[in-house]
Amino acid sequence: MSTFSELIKTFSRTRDYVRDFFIYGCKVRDDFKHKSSRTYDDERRRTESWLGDYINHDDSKRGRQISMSVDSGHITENPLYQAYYAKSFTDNDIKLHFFLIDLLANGKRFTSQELTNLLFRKYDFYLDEKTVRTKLKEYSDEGLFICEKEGRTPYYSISPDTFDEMSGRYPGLKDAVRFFSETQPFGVIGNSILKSCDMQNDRFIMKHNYIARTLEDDILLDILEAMRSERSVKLKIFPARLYLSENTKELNRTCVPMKISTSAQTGRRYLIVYTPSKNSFDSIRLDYIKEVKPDEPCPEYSALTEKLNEELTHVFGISFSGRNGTEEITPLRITMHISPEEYYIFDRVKREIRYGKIEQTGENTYLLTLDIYDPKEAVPWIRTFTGRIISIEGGTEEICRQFRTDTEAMAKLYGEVQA
Amino acid sequence: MNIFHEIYGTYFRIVKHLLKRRRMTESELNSVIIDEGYRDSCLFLQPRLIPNADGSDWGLFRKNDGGTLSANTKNDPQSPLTLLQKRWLRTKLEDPRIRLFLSDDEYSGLTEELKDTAPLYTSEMLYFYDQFSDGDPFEDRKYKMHFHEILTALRNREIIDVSYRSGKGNGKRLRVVPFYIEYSEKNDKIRVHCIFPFSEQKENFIILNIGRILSLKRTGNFFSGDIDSEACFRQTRCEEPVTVRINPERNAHERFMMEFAPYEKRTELDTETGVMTVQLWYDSLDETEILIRLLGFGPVLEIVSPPDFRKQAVERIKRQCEIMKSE
Repeated sequence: MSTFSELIKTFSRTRDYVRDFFIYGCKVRDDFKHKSSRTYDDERRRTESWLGDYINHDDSKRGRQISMSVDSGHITENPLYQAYYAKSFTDNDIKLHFFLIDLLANGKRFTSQELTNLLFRKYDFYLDEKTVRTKLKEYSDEGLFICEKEGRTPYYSISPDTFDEMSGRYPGLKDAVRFFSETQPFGVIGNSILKSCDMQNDRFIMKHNYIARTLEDDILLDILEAMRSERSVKLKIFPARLYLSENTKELNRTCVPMKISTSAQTGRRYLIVYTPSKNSFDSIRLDYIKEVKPDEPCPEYSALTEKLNEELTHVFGISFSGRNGTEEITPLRITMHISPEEYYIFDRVKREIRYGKIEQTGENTYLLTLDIYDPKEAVPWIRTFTGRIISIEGGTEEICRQFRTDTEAMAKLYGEVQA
Repeated sequence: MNIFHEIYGTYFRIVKHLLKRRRMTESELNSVIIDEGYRDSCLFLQPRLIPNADGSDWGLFRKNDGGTLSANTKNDPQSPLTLLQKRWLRTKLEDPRIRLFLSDDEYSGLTEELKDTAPLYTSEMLYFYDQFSDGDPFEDRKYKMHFHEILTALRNREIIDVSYRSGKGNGKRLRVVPFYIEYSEKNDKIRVHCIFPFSEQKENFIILNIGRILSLKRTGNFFSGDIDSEACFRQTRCEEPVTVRINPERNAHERFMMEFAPYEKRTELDTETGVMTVQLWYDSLDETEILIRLLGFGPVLEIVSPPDFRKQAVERIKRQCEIMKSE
């Protein structure tokens, strides 16, 4: 039976647990029944070990619930970065890391055979040359070491590029890295630079800070690499997240990754993809993607990008509504009451409206016209103007009807209002 | 190339710090692990660092006669920038906000230095679909100058003299000490958290939008007192959390939990009714923003308390019903 470790071999399972503790916060042990109870206990203990200060235990009617509560707008370091810093390793990994760096510290270069001999002579650490060569190659790929060939023999030296040296020449860079270490995506990489120099961010904070997005960074890196090389990808996807059960089955999809679309207001992030068999674009929640594998090159990538950019001028959020860009759009028209002294409402509409326009139609009335594929997507935004919507027309009939019935339902819900 | 790699890991970082110390007692070694590690790190890390007769340690330290520990390595461990870190830096050079930190010379020097490093992504690959369109002018000369002066003052706790236009258009002059710079991706704006250094009052905290600063001067006077940022945040924190009930229809639970993830909250789910009850703590300066976002959920969410907060929702719904009736 294996013993508990604070460190983890793979990120995906931990990502699911940390996300569940942080985002949903009301799950109890039974809600994780699609996993073994031992796995749950280990993941809970690990999360407590990494993020102790932020973990709450509440006894609810359903049992003890573990949650993570963070006031993300007032923190200088995303606590979820800790999960990335918990990768497990072997004894040889850590010994080779520090001994090789020590051997190469003088700036000289060595062959793998020379280093193998030195490891034994200086640290009494015996390994076969192949194992040492594999680590040297890995570190050269990571950029820690430089590999130069002389004839057919590779020579290894340590990279002279350090952040301390670089920021000495570019003093403004330190604060830039402090700032960007808390922005997404990949703030964790900036944070790793700070940590490598024993620096920390103590001056920048982020409002509307969706810290859980960092958990998707490793998936995102693979997707962006596929986008850079204009390839399709094979994805493993969860159908939904909140109530996963033992019957939940992953879906497999092959598609062309086109863009990453992020909501600054709802925290959700999507991968916009093109599916050749359907000849259409659609979107997949990034936090529903479990695995990414690069697939075939996509020769028509540039043409697809052009087509997508055109279509996006009618996408209010992320819904293409099953269209392929040829159908007519019926604009959604919202008439709104804004009195002259309420200039701040007009300003708000102006800064928040997308793919549409606002025009004054009366002393106190304004018309908003949205030229969008899926008017349903605009409804939550329209509802933020509750109290001043005079009429909704166009789009689909269903939308207009739904706005009316929803308002009546809200009146009923609050009781005090006569519908 | 992966972010999830042990070379960035907490254990490697602790060992690096210990090797840098060269010589230490066992209790000093334990202190470093406790300070820098996870809750249980001492349990796992310490036995691998302290030499054992059975050779189960990593051989990174040796025990001296006096019982102290010495590093078996000769040099301070170096941490070169990895390719992933360089590519991240290269990517950030394409972000207009980096010009707030780098001078023109620094920017062109660094761009030249990293010209052969591929960025992780380009701006065309990622976009916000609902970011507000009136973001700050990060490349504006005056804006950059104000930002730079504030950052300099913040580093040294210097008092600044600010001429400011409030949201309602009123002009005012303030003497403040900046202590945090805050960015919002939703607003695409930068604000600065300040205290009034000479205030006798309990409420000495103010947030200024950098874009609304008309002029700014560093005074050459420095604030020597302590700034308790937590106490400042408490000044604007809501007195009572807002309590909402969310029905499970229209995927509302998930939508709500995602959208309000940045806030401190307590959640309870009633499995019989499927209703989720959430207490949410917020900054009272953002009350209207919270209210309209909650209304955006429509009839699947009910604001239960505080009464004043609920009343604001009721008034808006009442107004909406009246408009609909008259149409």
